[in-house]
Amino acid sequence: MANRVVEHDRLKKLKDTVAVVGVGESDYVGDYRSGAKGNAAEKGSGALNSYQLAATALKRALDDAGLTKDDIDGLVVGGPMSTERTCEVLGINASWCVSGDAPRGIIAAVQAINAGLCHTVALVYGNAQRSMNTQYGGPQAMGGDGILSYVYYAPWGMTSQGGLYSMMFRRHQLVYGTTEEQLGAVSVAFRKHASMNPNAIMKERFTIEDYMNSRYISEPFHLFDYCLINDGGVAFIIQRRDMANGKQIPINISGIGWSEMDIDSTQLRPRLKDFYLPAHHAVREQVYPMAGYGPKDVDVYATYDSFSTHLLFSLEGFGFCEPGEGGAFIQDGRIEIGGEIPCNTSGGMLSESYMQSWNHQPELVRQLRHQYAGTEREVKGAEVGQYVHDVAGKCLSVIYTRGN
Amino acid sequence: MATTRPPRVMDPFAREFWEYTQNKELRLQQCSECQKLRWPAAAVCDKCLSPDYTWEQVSGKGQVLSWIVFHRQYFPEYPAPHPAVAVELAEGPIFVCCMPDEFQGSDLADALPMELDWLESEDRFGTYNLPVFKPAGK
Repeated sequence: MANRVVEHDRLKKLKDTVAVVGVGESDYVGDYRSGAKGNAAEKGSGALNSYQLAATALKRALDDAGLTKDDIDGLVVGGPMSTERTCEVLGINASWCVSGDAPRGIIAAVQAINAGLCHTVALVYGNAQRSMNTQYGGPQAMGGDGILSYVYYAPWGMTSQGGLYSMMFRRHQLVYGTTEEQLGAVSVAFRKHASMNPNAIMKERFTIEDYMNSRYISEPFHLFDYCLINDGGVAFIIQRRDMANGKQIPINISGIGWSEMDIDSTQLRPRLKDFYLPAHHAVREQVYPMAGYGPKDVDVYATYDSFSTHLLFSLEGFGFCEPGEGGAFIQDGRIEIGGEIPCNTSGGMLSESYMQSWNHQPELVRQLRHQYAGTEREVKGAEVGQYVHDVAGKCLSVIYTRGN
Repeated sequence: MATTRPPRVMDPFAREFWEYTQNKELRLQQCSECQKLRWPAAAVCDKCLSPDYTWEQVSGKGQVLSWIVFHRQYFPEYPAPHPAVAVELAEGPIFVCCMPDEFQGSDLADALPMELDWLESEDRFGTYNLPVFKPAGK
């Protein structure tokens, strides 16, 4: 295995050079409940378009930042949209433009801004995945062109991404004795957070008993271990820190890190033998020293959560607890607002909206701005926020801090 | 009688792998330079980038690493409940598969010894034998 890059001196030069100055999201609830009598819209209705959702989010992010689209000189495009069509629809001739998910986009944009290729980057995502009936399992499983294990085992009847994460959790159960009841704490907590969030799609709280009584999808995973499938758009604006206009409290990007485990990934070795922890450890060695903080300093936390287990594994991987202790660690309200380490305080992809890493970023920014002050959703006095991303062993992290 | 199954992911190297299943031989590529066994099939050794390899027949022995049971049907060919299992082969690689129909998820346990079996199969690439694993001696 190649040596992991740990260039603390170079990373530290980038600390706080770039800040998030605006965030925006589409109306997740309104778009989801557009079916008859306020029910969920039919999958495959074709009612919404990814570019339309992205444009809605971008307009809101620009308004939030006090900027106009003419201030944007760089673009990161996420979801199923093409860079050309996105720039065309939004009317932007960019100086710099790439495709990527939210953390890849942030890390790339920090580099591009520091290199002087652009000053003000809009990161935009739109995904009409419900309207388009996008499939994440079965014969047309999405993402199989990028991650072979999503489709390779089709002849044996195994394709779903949930199946792969469920298999990873079963291994954790076998090695450490973790129980389904322990895991249930994740979806119960995220749903509780969603119940405080007007823009969350699933707001009805449930108990551990409800979780245990919910049907299995891929045993040991229950229904509530799975994220939603819905349409939506997210955008945020990041800018060279010294150019921020001061309309919003700038939220600094203080730490970044990236490490992947792709060797033997299709045969699931890093997933089942290592739980991807070496990748998490490598990112820890970048993101924490760069930011000058450690896990104990993180006030509000968000993890990619297409499945509940992402939280369990990332808390172990980033040192909030030891490997194997995750099941016990997430109990007793520790991961809830008001607890030791509030996680996915918007409800995340399990309960707010499945925006594939994008909706976590505005939530951390708003928490660090203290935008929820005085409401039950507030993480009081939050100064340091962390996002951890791990999709099939592609592990990235961003630490945000409240600027002055 | 061959059973129709969801299609295989096919490329020139996969094609060689599946050719051997016609004779019920489970063979994995072994690098001729550094001897690493790789699965699934690929153009070069991921350890040393050598394009030279032989198809080594594996013992057909392994043990359970993990498993799941689909309770939602994803394929009409595989009605629920449908178990899938990850078997760590005696030779090292992990082989993800299903089991013959008579076995259930409840038959599995951590490190349970497993052995190779074959299911007559068919997809748009033709007929073949699908390698699967089942509890040893059962």
